[in-house]
Amino acid sequence: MNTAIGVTGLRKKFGDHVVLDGVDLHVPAGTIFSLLGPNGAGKTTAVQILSTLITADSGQVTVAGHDVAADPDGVRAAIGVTGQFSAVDKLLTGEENLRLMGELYRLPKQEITRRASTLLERFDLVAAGGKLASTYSGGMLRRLDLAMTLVGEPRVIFLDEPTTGLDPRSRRGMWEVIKDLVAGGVTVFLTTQYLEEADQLADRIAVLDHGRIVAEGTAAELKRRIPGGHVRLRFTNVRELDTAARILANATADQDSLTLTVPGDGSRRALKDLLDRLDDAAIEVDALTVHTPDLDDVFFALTGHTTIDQEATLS
Amino acid sequence: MTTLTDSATMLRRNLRHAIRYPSLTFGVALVPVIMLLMFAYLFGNAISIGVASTTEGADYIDFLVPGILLMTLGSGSQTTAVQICGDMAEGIVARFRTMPITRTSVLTGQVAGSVILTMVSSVLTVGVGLAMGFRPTAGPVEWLAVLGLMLLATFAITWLAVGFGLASKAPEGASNAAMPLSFFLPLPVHGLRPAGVAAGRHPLVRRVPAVHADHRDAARVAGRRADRAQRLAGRRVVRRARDRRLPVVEEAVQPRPEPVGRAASAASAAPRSSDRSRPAYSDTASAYAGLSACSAAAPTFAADIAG
Repeated sequence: MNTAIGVTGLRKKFGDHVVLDGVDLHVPAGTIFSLLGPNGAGKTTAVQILSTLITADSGQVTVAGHDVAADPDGVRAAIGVTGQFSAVDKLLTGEENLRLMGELYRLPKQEITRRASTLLERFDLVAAGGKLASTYSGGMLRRLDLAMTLVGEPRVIFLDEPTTGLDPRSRRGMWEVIKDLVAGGVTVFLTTQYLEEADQLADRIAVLDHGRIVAEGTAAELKRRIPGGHVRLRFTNVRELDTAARILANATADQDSLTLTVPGDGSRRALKDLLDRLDDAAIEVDALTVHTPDLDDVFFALTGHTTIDQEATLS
Repeated sequence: MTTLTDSATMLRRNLRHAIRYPSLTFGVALVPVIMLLMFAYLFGNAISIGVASTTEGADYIDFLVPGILLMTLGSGSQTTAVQICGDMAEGIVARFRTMPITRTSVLTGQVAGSVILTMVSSVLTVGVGLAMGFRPTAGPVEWLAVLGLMLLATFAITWLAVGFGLASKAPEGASNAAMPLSFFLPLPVHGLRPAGVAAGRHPLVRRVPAVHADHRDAARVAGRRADRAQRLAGRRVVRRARDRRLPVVEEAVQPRPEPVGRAASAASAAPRSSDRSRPAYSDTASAYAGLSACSAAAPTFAADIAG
């Protein structure tokens, strides 16, 4: 399979602050690759380097077969970028924004008209096409932004947190659009801090933390990597919590919320065992919840930004 | 070729902005006209007393219009700085920079748009001036020279404004940074008051290029009416100054011993003023040349900032 994006030994620092510390990535053409990480992990910096906005300190980066350092114009001709903040000219109408892109790609006039109207239709902006972009809602701006990125028919698209700040409905709409893109053979490089988004869209996910890739794989592979499943028991008083904690040696108690977290996969058999042991000790359980591992667990486990109950999960 | 195509595209974008944001556009275009009306009708009576006593046959309006014309050169600079800074903040420039286009076209388009707007404003100013009784005696070639110099100067000032816009973090800051270009530069211009008023001798004022440029325009308009012999005398002053390798302006604006008494002062006023504006006239070329040299350097400087 062709490589759309290849990165080896990518390093970047701003002053003394190391932002990317030896990143290696390989993205096959026609797939969605998601770079996942907390704020400040270096996601945006990575996108800026891959999209020729800034230069790397060291490392090899090729995008769509062109070296970013040696042939930035070759890269620019092949990519489209939609950043965190909508890069839309708000004093132009939606259609004018699309036409502006077409003119900058130096397309023939009829072709510009054709692509503009196709994109307006595809992104549900036909009615708004003649209105100034300054009157658009957040979701419309993002759609227009992405439509502008597509005017040049890029082979590789960078989406830097494309759904940040969108309401759930707009977010799902955006997901559909992104899935359609890949069906058309485009490679998508997506950064996000929403684990669900990566889970929904990405063929492969890399977790970036403090400038390093701490894990890479499919969503399923990543979930398998950590034993995130647990059962949470809530009790009505501290005495019962303490008794239960003594019986279940591998569990972690939280005195404040009167809960006990017991590692386990939540299977029927494991649950029955657990409840039997509590019954034997005549301990009354107020509530029980089963937690199966999701990308949140992976994320917290790998990046070390753990909350109290995530620590409990891992211990 | 691609540079031209891209710049043309960006210019179209800029002109569309001018249409979409009329308050800003009209602000730029109309401020000089308002200044013209203000100086002519609000302060004009007070100032024109001085004009009548210092020039023969020239009205205050003949001094005022060239002066205001120089003000228009910088009138668009704040808008330019704000627009450039806003573009940077909007992220649209980041998008342009990931596209296979000529990078400087973002700036050249903006500059071309601003220069066009400034020229429209200048034409408007002259038009209103004519309606108010401005009667220039300059010929077509001289007007062409004025236009050329104005274009170059506007070009230079606009690039400086672009630099301020790029260097500023917020549009408010950009507006303040570019303020001197639109206000402080033309304020000491002589055209707002009669030529030869004492303030013109201040060292700072003497070094503002626009002052000399204005001398030139004023001399164009008023000086034609002066005696031909006096013109020759003026040229002799310049030549003498050059021979002695003295800075022409210093020589030219050196205060002469003041004649005693008001009557004597009034009597000698006419030759004095034209005598003074002549040498400054020759200095104008160098002042403008300096400004125009900026126009060559400014794009490179701005492009460096833009990265």
